[in-house]
Amino acid sequence: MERSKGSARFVGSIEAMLYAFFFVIALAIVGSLFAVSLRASDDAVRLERAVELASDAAAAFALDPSAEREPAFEGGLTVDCAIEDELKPFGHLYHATIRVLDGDAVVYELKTARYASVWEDG
Amino acid sequence: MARRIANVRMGAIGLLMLVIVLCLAVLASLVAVTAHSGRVMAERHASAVNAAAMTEAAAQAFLSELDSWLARAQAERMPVTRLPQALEGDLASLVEPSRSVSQALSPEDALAGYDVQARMLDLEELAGAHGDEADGATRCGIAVSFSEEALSEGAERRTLDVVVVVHDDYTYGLVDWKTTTEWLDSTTDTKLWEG
Repeated sequence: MERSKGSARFVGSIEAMLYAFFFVIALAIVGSLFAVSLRASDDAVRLERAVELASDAAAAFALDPSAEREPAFEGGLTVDCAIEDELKPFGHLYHATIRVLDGDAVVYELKTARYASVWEDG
Repeated sequence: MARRIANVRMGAIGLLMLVIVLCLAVLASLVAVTAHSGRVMAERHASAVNAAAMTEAAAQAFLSELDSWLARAQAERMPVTRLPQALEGDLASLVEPSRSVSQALSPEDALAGYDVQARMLDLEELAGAHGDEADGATRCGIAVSFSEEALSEGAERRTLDVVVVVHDDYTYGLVDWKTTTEWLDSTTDTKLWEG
């Protein structure tokens, strides 16, 4: 009787260990899936924000392409707008490269251009 | 008896664990799908903004070429009556730089197709050009269409239609600057409810 009871306890403890093992494995898999999803979600939010900031910078550039622009910092992101002036016979073709950076990493880059004629300037 | 009780307890715990794991797995799957779709939407938005900026840059390059061409025509004292014919002859060379600008700006793998179409406006179109630009001093008009199709989306084409009129004083004016998006997928047959 004692032997049978001991054997049942042994089987029960093995069973419990197996349950615990599979539970831990399942938790690890689900946890890593949550972590990956969280990272992807953060990336998406950051990209959306970067696109929004770059669009705003592009709109400001279109309004006044010749203006000097300092890097702007917003929500942990840096908006850097580099303007290149190409001289044309009757005006300037400004090329803008707008970069949104998170630290040193480029999150989003937008290139656009704007032509300013001397007639337009008056 | 002791063994039976132990087995029943472990069975209940196992069942509870199974339910918890299943719930967590379903929740994790939903979160992963939502995060992935959010990421895809953000990338599509980024691609759309890039494409719009690219067509805008190409159109601006065209305007600079047109302005330079008019400056040369004025310097060479070309009669204004000859402007429409001369412009028509040089139209292909005027849009060529805008094509190269767009190729330089857009990543090679992002765009499936890029096209620029330019034509002179006929008299009826010129007369019908809205706005104050088409007045008595207007000599001729040009319609340019910059269109691109993104590989990442594959199902839409964005087009920037620009209409420019050329005046007798060798200047130009913008009459139309319109962006349109055309869906290429034939989703008209899709029915949400067959009832």
